Amino acid sequence: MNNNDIGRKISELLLQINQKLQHPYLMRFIDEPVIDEDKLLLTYIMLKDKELSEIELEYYAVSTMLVQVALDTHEKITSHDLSGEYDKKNRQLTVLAGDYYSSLYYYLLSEIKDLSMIRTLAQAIQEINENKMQYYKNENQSIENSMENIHRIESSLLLKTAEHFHLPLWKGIADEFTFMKRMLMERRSIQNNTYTPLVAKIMNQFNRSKGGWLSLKNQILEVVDSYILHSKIRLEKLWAEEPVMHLMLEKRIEQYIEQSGFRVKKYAEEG
Amino acid sequence: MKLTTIYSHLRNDLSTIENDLEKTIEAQHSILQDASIQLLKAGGKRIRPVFVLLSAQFGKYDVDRVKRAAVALELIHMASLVHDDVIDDASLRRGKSTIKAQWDNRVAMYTGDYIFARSLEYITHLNKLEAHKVLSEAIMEMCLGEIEQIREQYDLDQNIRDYFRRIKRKTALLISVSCELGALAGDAELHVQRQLKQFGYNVGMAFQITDDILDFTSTEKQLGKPAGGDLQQGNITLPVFFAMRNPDFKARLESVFDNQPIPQNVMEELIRDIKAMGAIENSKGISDRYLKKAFKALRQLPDNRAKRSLKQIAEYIGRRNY
Repeated sequence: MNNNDIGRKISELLLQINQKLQHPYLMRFIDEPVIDEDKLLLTYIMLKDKELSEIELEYYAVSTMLVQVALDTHEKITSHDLSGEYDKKNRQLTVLAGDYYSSLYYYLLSEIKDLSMIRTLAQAIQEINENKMQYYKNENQSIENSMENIHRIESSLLLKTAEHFHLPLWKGIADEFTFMKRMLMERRSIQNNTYTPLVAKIMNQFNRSKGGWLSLKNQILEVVDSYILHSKIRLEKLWAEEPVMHLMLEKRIEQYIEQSGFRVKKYAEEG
Repeated sequence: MKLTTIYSHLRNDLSTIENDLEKTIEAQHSILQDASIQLLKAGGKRIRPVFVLLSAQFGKYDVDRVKRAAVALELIHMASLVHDDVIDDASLRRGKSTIKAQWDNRVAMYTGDYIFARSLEYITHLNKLEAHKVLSEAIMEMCLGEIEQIREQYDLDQNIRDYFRRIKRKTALLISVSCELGALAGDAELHVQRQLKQFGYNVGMAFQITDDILDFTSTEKQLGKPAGGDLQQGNITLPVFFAMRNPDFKARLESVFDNQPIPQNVMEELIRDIKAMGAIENSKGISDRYLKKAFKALRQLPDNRAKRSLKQIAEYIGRRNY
């Protein structure tokens, strides 16, 4: 299967998932659900390594992505008071949309009678929510612990799927790829002076009285860059063991690097 | 007779269920653990596990097997309550602080998702493929039902059939599934499974109609929230459908809905009118019809203690006043 074939298949799967997510009334009020195409690509490529029928592969990829969309949908729920009727309805229906998408994964896997995969994805959801809670509620945790939470939040779903299908190499790739992408996104936000929860967590560990925002921003970027570099090195090692299938993923990550302004050389020189 | 007295003979097995509920919601994060425990300790009638256990007694009863369905169904119910409180922006449930009020919406979302995932993991150990088909369809339907409920809020032109479809999805389905899964887990014969499913459906419908009646007839103390709460949220329930047969009442409601929230004195007047128009008695009549169908389904089943308990529970639901 070449890159074009994979690209075509991913488009087909995106269409399938999108059809399942569509609900006319929900769509009038909630934000359009976003399917993480990188996670879909990762899931598809890694499952391609197993001798699964095309139908089975589709079921697993679609179910896994439905869980991801469900979790991402619930992530949009905020806690502040709302006054406008539209905003209230948006929140109510966002909760229900997430629940509905989550029910679809159970329904699909029940259709193909795969109880062990239902269990695997359920365990991943638990792990993700445990880590989300730690990340959200432990304000003074160390940077290292925060980064570990991000690792688990981003990768548990794919990691557990890789484990389920006995794909140890893909476990590592999924872990590093999803983490590195998130870090590159965070970097981009910091560059644009967006105050993300990660920024707050890193700042908590610094002495804030010294220097202005610019100096602080550089310090924060330094921390984030060190994690990006670490992930990049790990990923390159893992990709060397998987010389063919990773090329599309490598291309994707290069795009994110470009957009984030991360420079290995510059970092190495300064560091 | 109290509900707990009716199923007192299940005390040991219910205690097994309670222990498993507690074990299943164990979490590493302290807030996740505390929120889940708070939810569990808030009580509830455990009516779904009771239906599972009783229904399983029509087959080969093995509590270690049957508990897979009983615990999972209660957890699914609990998870849905946590998210419902976010949807309703509710600070109190059964007179106690909700998770979203004690912590915040985000914590409630994580807790609900966590408990739901625990329930699915737990029930996968029930190696009955048919059970998963039934349950997954029911959960999907329940979600769709809640979406419909929001769509139909404040809509005075909706049909009474919309109401019945809504309460079927909201309540009757999970009770019906509790009976069906109990029978399935106990390997009861197919016709027994079907009758128990029917029984559960009809009891569930009566249960929800009774709940909707009590929302107008109970005191704030009994409900743990102000009376007329459903109407305040724009939910048109059976007593309101009956009251709306009077065009003046419907027109009044229309104008009241234009100026939300409904002031306390106006709500009291509306409740008085609903009662005066016989809407409560009419609704009770419909609830009784569902109960009769439930008893009819029961008559098709072999005589045993479980059957007697199911009958008593249905009777209790018919006469409960809070």
